[in-house]
Amino acid sequence: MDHNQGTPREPAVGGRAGFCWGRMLSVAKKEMLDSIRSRWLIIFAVVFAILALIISGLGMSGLGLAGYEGFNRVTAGLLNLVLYLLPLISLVMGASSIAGEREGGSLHVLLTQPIHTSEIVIGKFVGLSLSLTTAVLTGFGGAGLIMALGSGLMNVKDYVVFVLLAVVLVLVFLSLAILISVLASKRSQALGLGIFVWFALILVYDFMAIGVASLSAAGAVVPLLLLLLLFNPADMVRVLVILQLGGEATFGPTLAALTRTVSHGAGQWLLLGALLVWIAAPLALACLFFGRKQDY
Amino acid sequence: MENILRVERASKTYGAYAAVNEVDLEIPRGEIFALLGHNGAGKSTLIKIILGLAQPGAGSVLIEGCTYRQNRLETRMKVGYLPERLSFYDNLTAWETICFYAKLKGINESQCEAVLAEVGLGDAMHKRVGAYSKGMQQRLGLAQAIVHRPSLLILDEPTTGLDPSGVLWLKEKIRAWNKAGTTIFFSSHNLGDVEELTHRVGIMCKGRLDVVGTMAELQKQYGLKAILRVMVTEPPGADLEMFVATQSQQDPRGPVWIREEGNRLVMTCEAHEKGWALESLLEHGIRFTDFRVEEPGLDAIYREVMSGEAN
Repeated sequence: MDHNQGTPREPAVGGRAGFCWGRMLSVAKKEMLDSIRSRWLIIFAVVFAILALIISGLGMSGLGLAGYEGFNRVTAGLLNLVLYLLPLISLVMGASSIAGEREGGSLHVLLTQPIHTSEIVIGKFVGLSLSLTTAVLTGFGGAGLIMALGSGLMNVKDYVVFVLLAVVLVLVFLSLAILISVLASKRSQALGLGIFVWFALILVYDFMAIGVASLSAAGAVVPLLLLLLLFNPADMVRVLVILQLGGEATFGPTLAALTRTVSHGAGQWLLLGALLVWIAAPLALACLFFGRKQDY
Repeated sequence: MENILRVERASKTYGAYAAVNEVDLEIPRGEIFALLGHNGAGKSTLIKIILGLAQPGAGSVLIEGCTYRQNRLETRMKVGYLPERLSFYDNLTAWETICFYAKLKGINESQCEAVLAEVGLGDAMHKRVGAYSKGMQQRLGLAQAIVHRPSLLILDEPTTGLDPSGVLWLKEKIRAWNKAGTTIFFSSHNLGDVEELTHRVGIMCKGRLDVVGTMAELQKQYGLKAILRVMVTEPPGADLEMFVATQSQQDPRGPVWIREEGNRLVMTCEAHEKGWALESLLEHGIRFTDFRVEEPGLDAIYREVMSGEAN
């Protein structure tokens, strides 16, 4: 057998020189298969589904609130679950992706294949996004069913928007995590950085924002808070979900002006645009840094 | 002969430490070349430079005349690589794993089954890789390295994790792939395997690759001699004492026989002098029942190189 001749080759999808969607999708498919079969993702999906079912079950039945009010209460409960759990699992899974492969040794094999580094980065992002989204949608599916039984189908649109915003939150934190994974040299370092980002954005940021606002001049509070809002994707999702549910009153009288700013169409588009930037920018930076590395 | 790999004055430093220091290397097509050296000698960094995984601070690497800078993807298609530290995706089967790499290389999935069978994983291809033994993972690593039938196969410590029968199997495969036209470049700490398989050897030391050659060339370069042992018949047929005492007078520059206990003679000589030495015994009427030649092996060459570096 002559090794160097006659091996059937498929036509290169999109050519070999530029970005190739076929190769990127191959990485995405591999990543999705690998992660969706991993026990960690399965444990997460089960825990997420159970918590969502408990929240929706208790919200719809135990408190005597049916209809729209019950739906809002359940969604608000699910929102807390989403805001704490989804960024954490996204950061953990994303941060350990490239750094984990580097530490394990499989990254060297992958990098010696005829593939661009950007195809690896985007492929990993797409694959992990699909597997995490599948897990999240599975959890929300059961909760949605219970809510539909309790309040009918009148809130379907609100619920779909809420679920979509949860998926956006996953994409944002996965993108951040992939950037962390590219920059970190070890899996443990990547995980540490990921947890630090979660701690900073989910637990600390709001206190810091309130502190900064309280020290600012009265006229500067709203623009300052709006600016601070744009720098925290979790808060943007929180605000968008609350606005979708018609719960602006929860912001209180002090922030009425902020509510007015973000509740009209342009304000919501601004937040959605900012969320898209939060997805695209870290991913673009990850592609840039990964492609420019001198040593892998 | 055309060079498949050419490394020109490649250097790589980490801070003040020169991991690879002005390395020149040419590998002709069809050769089996082995890279030796202590841990930390710079072998892995040189391999990473050859694979395009590390950017050399100076110098260049050409694979079939192409650099990674000129055409990264096409150049990668010419190379297959088996790393020393091997890891795959535990939740994928071997079949899925090879199909993934094949797809990236534009190889039809129909080839994957044959490649897995070729490395002895035909029956286990639908098992998850996480359940594979170290030896099976090594075979899977080889499958991904050859799935596109590269012209240059780079194997970093390929026998790691293989049991003795696996090692024998791999040696046969290396010979077969080489016979089929694949140039093999491998690093190893097993001097016996290297000596058995390679056409040429390179020994790295402190980032430099100054020692490169065939076994015969390196034996000559380091003045290493063969040891010839002869068991003389009883009675020897001539006066051994006299023969041993007078031989150096006949040719003072030539090698001399030394009498060991009993009727055993031993001589240290150049490889080309072995025939002459045996003939000289017969010419002097000394008959022998058996003889043994101990060629200076790679271990002796390696020791010489390392002792030279230490001095």
